[in-house]
Amino acid sequence: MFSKILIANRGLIQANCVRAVKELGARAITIYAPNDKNSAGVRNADEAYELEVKASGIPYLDIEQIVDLAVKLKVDAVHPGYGFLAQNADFNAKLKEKKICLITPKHLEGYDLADKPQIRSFAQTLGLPILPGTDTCNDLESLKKSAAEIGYPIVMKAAEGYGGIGLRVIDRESVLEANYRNVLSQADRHLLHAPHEVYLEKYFTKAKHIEFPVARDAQGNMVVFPERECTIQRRYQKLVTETPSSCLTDALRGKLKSAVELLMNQLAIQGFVSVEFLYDGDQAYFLEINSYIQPSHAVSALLTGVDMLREQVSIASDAPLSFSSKDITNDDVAMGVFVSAEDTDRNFTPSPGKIERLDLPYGDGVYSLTNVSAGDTVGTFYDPIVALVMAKEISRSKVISKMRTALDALHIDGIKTSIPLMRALMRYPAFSKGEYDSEILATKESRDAIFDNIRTPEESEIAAMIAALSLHRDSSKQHLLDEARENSKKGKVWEMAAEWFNRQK
Amino acid sequence: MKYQVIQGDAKHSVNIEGKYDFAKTSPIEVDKNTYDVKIEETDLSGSMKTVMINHRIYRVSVKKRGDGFPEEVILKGVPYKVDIDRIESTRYRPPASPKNIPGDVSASMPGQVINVLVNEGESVEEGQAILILEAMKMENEILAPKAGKLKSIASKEGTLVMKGDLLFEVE
Repeated sequence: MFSKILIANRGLIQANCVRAVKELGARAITIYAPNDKNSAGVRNADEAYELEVKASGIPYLDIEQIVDLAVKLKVDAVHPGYGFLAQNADFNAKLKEKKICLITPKHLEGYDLADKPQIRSFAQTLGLPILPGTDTCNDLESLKKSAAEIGYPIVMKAAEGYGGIGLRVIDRESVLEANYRNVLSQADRHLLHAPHEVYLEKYFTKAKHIEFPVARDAQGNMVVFPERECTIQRRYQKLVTETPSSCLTDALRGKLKSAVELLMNQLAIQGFVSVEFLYDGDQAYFLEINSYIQPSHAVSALLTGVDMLREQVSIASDAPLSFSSKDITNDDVAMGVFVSAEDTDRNFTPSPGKIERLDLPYGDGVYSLTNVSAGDTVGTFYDPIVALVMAKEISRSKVISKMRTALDALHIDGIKTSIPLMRALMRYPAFSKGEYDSEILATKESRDAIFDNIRTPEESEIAAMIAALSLHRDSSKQHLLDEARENSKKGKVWEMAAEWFNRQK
Repeated sequence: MKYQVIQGDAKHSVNIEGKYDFAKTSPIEVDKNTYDVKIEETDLSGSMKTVMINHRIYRVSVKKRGDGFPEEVILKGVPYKVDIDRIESTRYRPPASPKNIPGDVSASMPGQVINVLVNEGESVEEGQAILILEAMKMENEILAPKAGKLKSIASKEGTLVMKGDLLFEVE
């Protein structure tokens, strides 16, 4: 096992990694940008080091500074978390040079899991269905030609993109060039590989996203976890995760599990990954292998009781998995809702600001993760996810009902969040019945439909009353007189006078 | 005082007594129902935040038009569009709405200008995208508030801007 591990990330994953590393009995060391000094991960780490902020750029992407620190502190391994440097080949190579292990999957020489077109064609040779698409390409004319052959709409992806970065859906040729420039410029800012290349895939508007988390150790033992469904997204980032998915038949699930095992063995992957598929209701197509631990891993951990982060660190050090498929026998359903600091009414525009109050839901079978607390300011430079609320029950309908109560009890005051939309979604019949696809939150109309469904006659009456009361209050100013009278009755006038008197001294 | 509140096809009649006491739980009639209402909490700007209605706490916020009339009520996070149509006997005289729309646009959040789409001196339409501001990994198009000539652009591509910084001006 490793004895000193540097956790090179921030937020929820940083705090969770610190926990896992400490549980393994290793020393948990972490880094932070000045603004993140008070976060849970930094406070709970055994050691924490402030990163120097250079003129432009995100300190968590500063490879040189982080590698230097890892060398200076003589750590055995670096945990990259997700995002930032998790898929960065340069970072990996520089650490390797210094004989420091980056906790990321090892695999067959000559392959790169971040090179999605390469892995896609490898999967195809193993007989897995893939979407019609292209290899990497950086020539506008051939992109245009391929797009026409595949047929619009298509999705354009930066070859090394992740988490929705460098991804565009294109519905006609006239906007292809503008989108291509956009993908490249976004890749320039967020992805460190250069030069950038893109590839195209057919875009299915009616589809569900399925991913199988899977762990394989140095000894070749493998566990494929129940699949997660992450269809509810915005900007191609997950907002709701459920596991297992309600849309797969047992036959298809078995088929996909075998495909995942074949792919893992053939690529000789050692580590924790998730294998993604797109399911159009008929066929499931292989999309990609995600080589970093996903934000949704916590939902699988809740379902199965397996501490995925701990296992990930442990198998990276060549230790065998501490459990087998036989240990995962549970028939429950787990769900996770990511809460983001965004204005869902304005197409998920970020809503930075100060959190005035934070109430997390609690109760049997309900778990919440957050890295913010009352008084914290949500900035604009990082991911806007502020909390993950999870629930577990014996069936999907029961877990949805548990999630409704949980979200009703979740309050984040001071900033706009996705909580109201998520509450409404949990009460939306199409969601409960499983009759939805990845476009469910895509347009204002579709989001309004979700809200319309929960507007009751009683509450519209109350809304009308609040409007009138607000106008009445503003126009009469009567409330000022009423409040002053109450305050003087309660003797507060003397308190106020005393305070004024003290201030004069 | 009687307020007529229109919500889409529905019309509600809200009756708030002239002697309505804001410091106590007091009744308000809406159509044929009576609610016991007390404003429990207000925010820093003095707007209502939590209201106790028939022994139940509601989180509310009211979006107002330029003339101070409510246009949207957000009740427990769910938006309800409202329009107050007619008011009987009120002393309220809303200020006239401003005729001149200001042409200067400043950043509503800190971020980075990643793309400037229009050159200084060019004519722009109302609602035309002038530049793209990136914040929280998201690209936000910043639009012209009115038609006119783009007088100045205060930021270049790559500039980091803070909340309140001037982005551009249309005249």
